Amino acid sequence: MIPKSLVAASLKPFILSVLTRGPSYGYEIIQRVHGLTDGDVSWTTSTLYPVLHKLENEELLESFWEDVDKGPARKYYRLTRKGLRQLEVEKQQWLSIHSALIALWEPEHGLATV
Amino acid sequence: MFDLETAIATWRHSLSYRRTILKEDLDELERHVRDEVDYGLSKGFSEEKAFRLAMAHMGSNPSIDKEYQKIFWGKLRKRRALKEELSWRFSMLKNYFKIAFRLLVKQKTYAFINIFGLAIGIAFCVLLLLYVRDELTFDSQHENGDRIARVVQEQRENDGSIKSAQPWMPYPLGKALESDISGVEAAIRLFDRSVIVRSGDKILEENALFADPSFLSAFTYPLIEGTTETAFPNENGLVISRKTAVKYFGDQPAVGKSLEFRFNQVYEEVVITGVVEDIPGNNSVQFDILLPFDLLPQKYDWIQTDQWNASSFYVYVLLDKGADLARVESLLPEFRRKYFPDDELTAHRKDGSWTNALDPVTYHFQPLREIHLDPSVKSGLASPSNPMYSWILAGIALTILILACINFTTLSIGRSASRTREIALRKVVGAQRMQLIGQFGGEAALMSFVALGLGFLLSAVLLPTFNQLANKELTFGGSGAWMIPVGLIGLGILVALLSGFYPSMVLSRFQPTDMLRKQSRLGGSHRLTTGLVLFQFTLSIALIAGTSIMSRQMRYLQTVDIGYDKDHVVLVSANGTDSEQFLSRMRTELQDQPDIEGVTAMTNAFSHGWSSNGWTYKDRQVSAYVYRIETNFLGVMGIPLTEGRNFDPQRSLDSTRSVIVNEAMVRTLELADPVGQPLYGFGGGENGDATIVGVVKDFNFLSLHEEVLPMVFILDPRYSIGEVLIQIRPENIQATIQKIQNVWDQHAPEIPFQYSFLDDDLNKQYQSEARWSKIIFYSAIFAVLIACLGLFGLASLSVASRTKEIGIRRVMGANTASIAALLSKGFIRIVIVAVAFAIPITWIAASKWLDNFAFRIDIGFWVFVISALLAISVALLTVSFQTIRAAGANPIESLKVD
Repeated sequence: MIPKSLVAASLKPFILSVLTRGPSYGYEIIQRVHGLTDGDVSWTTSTLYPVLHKLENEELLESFWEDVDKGPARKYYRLTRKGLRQLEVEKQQWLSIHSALIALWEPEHGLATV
Repeated sequence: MFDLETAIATWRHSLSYRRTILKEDLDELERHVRDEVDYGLSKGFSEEKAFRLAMAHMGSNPSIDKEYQKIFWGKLRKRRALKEELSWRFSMLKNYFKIAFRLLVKQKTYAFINIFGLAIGIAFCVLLLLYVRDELTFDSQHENGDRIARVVQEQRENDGSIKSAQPWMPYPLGKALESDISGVEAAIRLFDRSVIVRSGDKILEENALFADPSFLSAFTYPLIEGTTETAFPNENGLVISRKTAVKYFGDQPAVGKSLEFRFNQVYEEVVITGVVEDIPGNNSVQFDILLPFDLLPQKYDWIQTDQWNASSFYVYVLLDKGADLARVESLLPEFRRKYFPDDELTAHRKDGSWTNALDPVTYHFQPLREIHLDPSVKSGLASPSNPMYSWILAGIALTILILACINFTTLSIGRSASRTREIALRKVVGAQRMQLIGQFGGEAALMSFVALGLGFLLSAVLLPTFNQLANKELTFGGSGAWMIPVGLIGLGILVALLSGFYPSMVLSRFQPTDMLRKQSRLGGSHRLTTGLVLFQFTLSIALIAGTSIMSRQMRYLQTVDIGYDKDHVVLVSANGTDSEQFLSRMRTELQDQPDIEGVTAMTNAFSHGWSSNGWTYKDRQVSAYVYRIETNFLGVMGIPLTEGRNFDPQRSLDSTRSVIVNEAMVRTLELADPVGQPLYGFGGGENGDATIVGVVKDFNFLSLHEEVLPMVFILDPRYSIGEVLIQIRPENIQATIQKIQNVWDQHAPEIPFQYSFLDDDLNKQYQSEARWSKIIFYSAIFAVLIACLGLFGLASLSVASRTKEIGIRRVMGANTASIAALLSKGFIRIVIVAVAFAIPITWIAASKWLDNFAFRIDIGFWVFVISALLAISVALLTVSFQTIRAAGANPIESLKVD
């Protein structure tokens, strides 16, 4: 299991990244991430939705409703232009952490280049 | 049987109470749950299992609420719904106020009990706040205050503990400190004495302070006329206070004018060089007339400027800027040894009877700001205040405030019966617990602040009385004025919390279904309410009994036979007169007047101080109080001789060698047959030892705090007459005094005539006790009042909740009296238990107080019987207002109540 703090930190890039593939809704986002990480990253419902609403307040996302046969309508989220730019920023941050860690984990190269 | 739709609806409904979760959020969440259930069903789970899994992922309601709370305000802003939310909150607030106001109007009795009770508690606290502020700001007006200290002489026990400390210093000490101790910038000697002042045809006796010239620059007394440099030069300065200037010169400038002082039986003119602003009461160094210290040895021949063994002067030091008090003090033992090389106590170290490393007698610099609250140095320019008094007053004020808060709590909870519907309805339409707590807490706060305003007014009304009781000159203004508003707001918050917290917790706790269905009375725990009333009555009874014991002791002090005639004795001071001629003139002119029983005189009256002599009697130290009297003294004052004879003016030895002693002296000397025995060592010298010629019966020449101690009467004319005592008849007192004044005016027209009555003066010895007796009396009244208010409210609640029962009893044939008795029984039982608690508390406290007196009353059990009867009848009276009305009500009416 991945610790809570790391899961919380990755919420935003995960949501933004999933939405680059087109509009989606809460349950689907959870399922997608759950599948990609083999269940290592799983959010409770009560943490996901407030974050979606927060990103919507920050205008990184926008939402629309689609009717369903039974029960209430479904709320879809999609990326805005601002959201896309924000994703680039996040991506750079995660990549720089990622590459730094990779460099450290391959000792020969690391030591040789230093 | 599990039904998915019902389960989802129930879950959704439970979340709908959360104000942070909007309807669209609920839609989104429900959609999520349905998606997840569908997924579960596709995996082959049962509906129930699929739903439970979805719920497990959802998390609990409070945790959902917590997460949504974080983004609530941002969401409102985004949706431009902020205004609606705020206006909704405001209208709720308006609704709360409206309800609170309606309740106030509808339930006038409760509102009155709550607000009035709290106001009394608050008024007490405000007065206490003023008192504490005064104590804390004592002597703080002096800019150099942290550099000023008073010289105190401490005498130690062999174990190093301090046996006694006194502030009187020898004349040369000040100058010696200035020259010997580095770090002392100036030593200021002070001496206070009453002087006779004349200006035009006005002659008054005033208190004067004699001080060294550096006094005005070391201490801070703002001058309104003159400057610090010129106001107080050596020898020719005279500074007066503003009110003294107004008294003598009206609104004219006083500098340059002069006052006449009577030194050595003649008047001398002194020119005024400065006027200071009136000195606030919280100053230990007070003066209305300030004269140069160097004037003292010129005007009073008893003052010896080189005498290290006569200590009558106060010495204050001003330390150098930045000087360390501890370092300067460390020089003092060496300093004292220099001037007292063969001190008796220092000698003890040499002969081995003193082993402590510290000297037996040392000087100590007591910082100015510590003087007021340090009762270990008993005397000084102003008497110090024992911090214990502040604590007692604080305890009384807080207790009364807490009693009032207790009433508020019990009544609010009790009153909840009439509010169950309101609370239930609020809950049903979605009120959260926090909102209800806020509402009831807010109501308490509203009441508290109304009470705060009222209490503040009440304290302003009570202030003069309180000043009298506390012997203070407290005002709302003055230094540290910021403490008042800050203290008031703090008090308001404290009261709101104390009185609002518990009821709001209890009221908001109940389930709406219970309340709507059962129409139950919510009254918290019955035991708590009973406990609170018990506490109030215990305290009230203790205070009633305490008041009764204290006032009985005070009465006893005034009526007990003290062994001589103290009634109708006029004291006339011979101060400033040629006393022997004055006495003989008074005697010749007054003796034959029909309204005058006798004229006699003594060194100083029993109520006006004393002097105690110590001498060596056959190898042991004895001491006694010595009074010089006239031969007719014993007869005029009604003091009986038990043995021997009175002084005889015909015998020449009587004026120098004969003494009359009291029985206590005989006991101390262990004499079987005292008359004719020599009083070895007393009045020795060229005349030889004195001889006892008579023994008087013991009488209380000291205050009744003390046992009768050894005393000696002498006739020696070398001790001058200080006071003339005139025994008058109780008829025509005013006319008789006028006659005495006429004689005085003929003999000493240049001195103001002043007189007092011996019994009044004697009563002044018990001023402090009388003050405390009054404080306890007032506290008892307020405590009883508040306790009764509480009981009254409680009784009315109890009656209200038993309306139906009363109706049924009436229908079944009970009469008014039996119902009233039934309703009162419970309350009376509480009061009886309170009596049981109050007796030991009062017994212990009163015994401790009575220990201050050598002559005291027995407490006596009947005090408690009477206090208990009083408390029970007050309680019964209070309760009966409610019970009789309820019992007498028409049962048709009471049974109609739902």
